[in-house]
This record gives sequence, C-alpha cells and structure tokens, in this order.
Amino acid sequence: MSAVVATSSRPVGATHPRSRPRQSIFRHHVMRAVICIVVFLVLWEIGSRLNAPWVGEVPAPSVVAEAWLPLLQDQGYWYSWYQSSRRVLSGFLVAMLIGIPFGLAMATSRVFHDITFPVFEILRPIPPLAWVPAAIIFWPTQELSIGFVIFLGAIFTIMLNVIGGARSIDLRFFQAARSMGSSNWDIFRRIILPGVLPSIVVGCEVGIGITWNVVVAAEMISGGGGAIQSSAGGGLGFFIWNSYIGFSYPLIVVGMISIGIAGYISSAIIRKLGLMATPWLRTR
Amino acid sequence: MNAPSRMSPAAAEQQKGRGSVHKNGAPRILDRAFARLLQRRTRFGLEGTGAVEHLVRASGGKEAPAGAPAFLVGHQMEVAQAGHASKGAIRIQNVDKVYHAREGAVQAVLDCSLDIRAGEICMIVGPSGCGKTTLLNAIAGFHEITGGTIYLDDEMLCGPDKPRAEPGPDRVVVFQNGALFPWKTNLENVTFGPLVQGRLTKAQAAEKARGMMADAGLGGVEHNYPGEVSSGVRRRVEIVRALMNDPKVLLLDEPFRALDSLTKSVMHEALLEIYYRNKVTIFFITHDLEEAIFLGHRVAIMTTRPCKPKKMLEVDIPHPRDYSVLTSPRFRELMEETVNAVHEEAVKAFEAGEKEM
Repeated sequence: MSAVVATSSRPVGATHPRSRPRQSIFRHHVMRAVICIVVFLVLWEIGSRLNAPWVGEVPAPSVVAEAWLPLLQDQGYWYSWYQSSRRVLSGFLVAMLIGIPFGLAMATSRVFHDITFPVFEILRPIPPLAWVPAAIIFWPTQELSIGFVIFLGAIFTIMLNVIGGARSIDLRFFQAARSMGSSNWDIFRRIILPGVLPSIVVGCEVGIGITWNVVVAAEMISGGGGAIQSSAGGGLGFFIWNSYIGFSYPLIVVGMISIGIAGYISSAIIRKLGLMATPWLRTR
Repeated sequence: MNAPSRMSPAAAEQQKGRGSVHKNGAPRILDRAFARLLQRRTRFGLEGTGAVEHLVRASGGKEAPAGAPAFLVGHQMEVAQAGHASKGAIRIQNVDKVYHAREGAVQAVLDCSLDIRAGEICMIVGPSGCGKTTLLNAIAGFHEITGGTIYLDDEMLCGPDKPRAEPGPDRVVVFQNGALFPWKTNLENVTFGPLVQGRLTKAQAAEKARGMMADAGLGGVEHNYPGEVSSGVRRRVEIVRALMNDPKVLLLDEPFRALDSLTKSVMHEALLEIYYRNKVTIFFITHDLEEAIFLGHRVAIMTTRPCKPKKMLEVDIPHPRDYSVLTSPRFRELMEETVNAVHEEAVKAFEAGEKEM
C-alpha cells in the first residue's frame, strides 16, 4: 500500500486533456481520407472506360477533369461559387436568426408551443422544391425568392433541434439553479442557452447541409442571373441545371462535385465554430 | 524479477482501481487520506472510539500531534456535540404528500413529523421509494406537500396556505447523480450562487471560491470542466458550490451513491472536514447504513411507503470522528440496531411491491 502512495505525487488536475498532442492522429486521418478518394476515382475511371453497367453512362473522372481544368481559370465559374455561397449563407443566417429564437420560445412557453406547433408541423414536410413556384410569386425579386427557398431548407431542422435540445436539459440543473436563487432571466441565460447550445450546433451543421441540397432547386429560379452561358455565374445549382439542358454531362459532374466540396467546407466551418462555442464538449 | 507479474490478483485489481482514480486527477487527496488512515490505524491500533479522545488528550486539547489531520485542531470542543449552530433547525410537522400516478393516488408521506436540530447531521435511512426524496423536495421547494407544515427556524417554508416552499439559497441541494453545470468550469460552478444572488462581485466570488476549494483539497481543478475530473472530485465541487451560498441547511440526496467504496470512504472524511469548518445543518438521505452511522449525529429510520420516522437513533459516538470508529464495539451495536429496523421495513416494502405486481 505504501508503494502506491509513494508512486503517485502528481498534483490534482495536472493532466490536461486539451493539451494532448494530436498531430499524429490527424495525419492518419488525412491519409485514410486521401486513400479512400483515390480508390474511388480509380474504380470510377476503370468502370467508365470498360463501359460497365450504370457507371458506363457517367463520364470518367479524366473526362470530368478535362472539362474542369479550363473552368478553374474561368471567372464565371468562380462567380457561381460566390453566388451560391452568398445565397446559402444569407438564407442560412436568416434561418438561424428566426429559427433559434422561435425554437427557444416554443420550448419554453407551453402556450406559444400549442399555438405554433401545428402550423410548423404542416409546413415542415413540404419539400423546398414545392415552394419554388410560390416563392417566385411571393417575393418581388429573384434573389429574395432564391434566399427564401434556401431558408426553408434550413429552418425546420434548426428549430426542431433547438426544441429538442431545450427539452432535454436535465431537470436537476433547473432545480439547482433555482435553489441557488436564480431569477427566470438567470435560468434562461445561464442554463437554457448554454444547455441548448450543443443542439443548436448540431441543428446548424445538419441545416447547412440541407441548404446545399436545395440550392439546385432554388437556383432554377435564377435563370442564369442574366447570363445564359453555363459558366457565367448563375450559381452552382444553376450551373448543373444549365449543363443538363445543354447536354454537357462532364459539366454536370463538375457542378455536383463542386456543391459537394462547398457543402463539406461549410459543414467543417460550422463544426469548428460549434466546437469553439462549446468548449466543455471537447473533453469527450 | 518482474514485480507486477508477481502481484496477487487482488493487489493488481486494487492498483488498477486506484490507477483509474489517478487518471482523473485526484491522486494527492487520495494519497493524503490513505496516509492518514494508515497512520491512525498504526498509531492507535484498531481499538475504536478511544482513538480520537486519545488524540485530543495527547495534544493537550490544543494541538494535535504531528501527522494528525489539521481539522481536528481546535475543533474538538465545539463540534463534540451538535446543536451549536444557531440557525438551521428544520421542523417537519404532520406532513402528508399524496401524488397522482397512473395507477391512482399514492400516499408517499403520511403524518410525518421530524425535528432536525440546528447544526446537526441528520441521516435519513429507509427502503427504496419510501418517500425520503419527496420529503427533501418539499423542504427544497421543488414539490408541493398536501398537508402539514415545514418550518426552517421560525419561518414557515410550506404549510396549509402555501403548499410549495420557495426554493432559496438557505437550503441548497446536492443531487444524487450530481448537477454541476457541464458548460461551466468548476470555479464558475462554485461562484454561481453568489453571482446570481448579486451578493458578491465576480472577483470577490472567485476569491472566496478559490479559498473554499483549496480547503476542500480542490486546488488545481478550478479551470477544468466537471466532465474532466473524477466523480469524487465532482461531488466535492458540488458540496463546495452549495456551501458558497452560506446555506443554513445542506440537503444531500444520496450524494455518494455512485462512488466506489474506496472513494466513498475518502469522501466521508472530506465531508466531515468540510462540515467541521462550516457548521450547517445537514439533511442526508442514504441507503448505506454504515455511512449513516459514521456521519450522523442522529439516524432517522423511515418506514416504507407512506413515509414517516419509525425510529430515531442517537449516535453517541463523539465527533470529530475518523474511520477507526467503524471497528469500535459501539459502532457495531448501533449498526445491528439499525440493520434490524431497516430490514423489517425493507421486507415490508418488498412484499408491498410484490402485491402491486
């Protein structure tokens, strides 16, 4: 027993999980991702060349790359990126600004919940694509219509997560806060808000993915933003739609992969921001 | 010559168990406590209650001998008997609680009267689901009562016209599974009460918190999140968080239930140490009879549902206590008395459960 006592003289809290070196783990994880992508591309190339069923119909990655390379120097292509990102971001931000307070109100007020929930539940299953005609009629400008469809893609997910998150806050936290003399405002600010934050992060992460899902539907409205050429900046969603109309299959794939990459980047940013906002979860 | 491989399985197990405690950052406290236990056991043998008196005598009533825990110094006179604190007496008078469950009305508490003296540690023991926590929730103000009155000193907390007490910082609860806010660091948790009450500025609260945490052996974990420290450390942080409110009463609802027995024994001493420093009334619910007798001035043994005191046991082992009392003959006697009373109720509860099925 005395041996045990002697061997452990480390002070309390000396090990800090956050200061653990993570470099090597990170490298492994990048390596695995790269290998997976390379294998996928190789299989795709082979399948396409051999005219395998299903894959044979899709242009090979080499063909796609050939179509993509000149686009990289094309301002219109990057302008499409910019347009889509701008639309997604603004639609998403409005969805956050409305969805989070609305969700909190629905979670904290029984009356408000009872009034709004049925409407919310009826609107929720309507696919954003179905909103396109209505959006065109509702809103005075094209950009507003596009933003609205994108907004619809994200808001329900965000709200649902906020409501669920607020509901799942442990009752004991409220009791403890009350017994230490918290006012209602203290409870809201110091218990509900931080308690619901992890769910907000999850809601946003899923929500921003959905905004990229609906960007094609939304940008069908744009009609190219005045320029009819596929590369002239109607947004990535419009780019795909336009390539389809113009029978340029490699460009469809370029557009698809571009949206995939854009979605990946935006989810990664949200995740990063979310982790910064919820430092206590880093230890898990 | 490989030492670990020659260790007995039991010893290896022990070391493994302790290793897991170390990992979470409580080693110094545990080691100190082990060293203390060892020291005491070897110094005084296992002869029981005599140990503390001996210690006090040896020190001339003023100074404890080298190696004795610091909290014994100067405290033995004041804390030898309960009832010295002027505030924090709870009077529970004829309290009833009926709640409505799916299977109909359930009488959780019936005509329960219990006097808890100011500054004492009153342990509440009874079968599972007997309504102990109902009583605690009524005092804390989390639930309503359906009859009777509860007083804190001369103030009525809840009664016929006011079925639900107002929760307040004079009665702080430490919960069964812990309720530290995971999004606040340990220090922020501890300063929560004074800050929301507006009693202290942020700097004052932090200073007081640091002091109290250091006293409880929690120096060094202030800036960790609760999720980063061991459950024993979390429990202590929570007790310190409660004490930061200068409560009259500390309501503990099986706070050490989830801890392993090794950590638990250390926590008992830590709680007593904290109690000797900050004399508050402690209302402590437990299932662990050894814990009840070791900590309590009195043990209230409750009947199975509906809950009321069946027997009030005076634990006449003087405070301050340490772990050597566990082996004293008096402790064994009290233990036997408690076990008999509790077992009877547990059997009744079990049979009632069978009937309900």
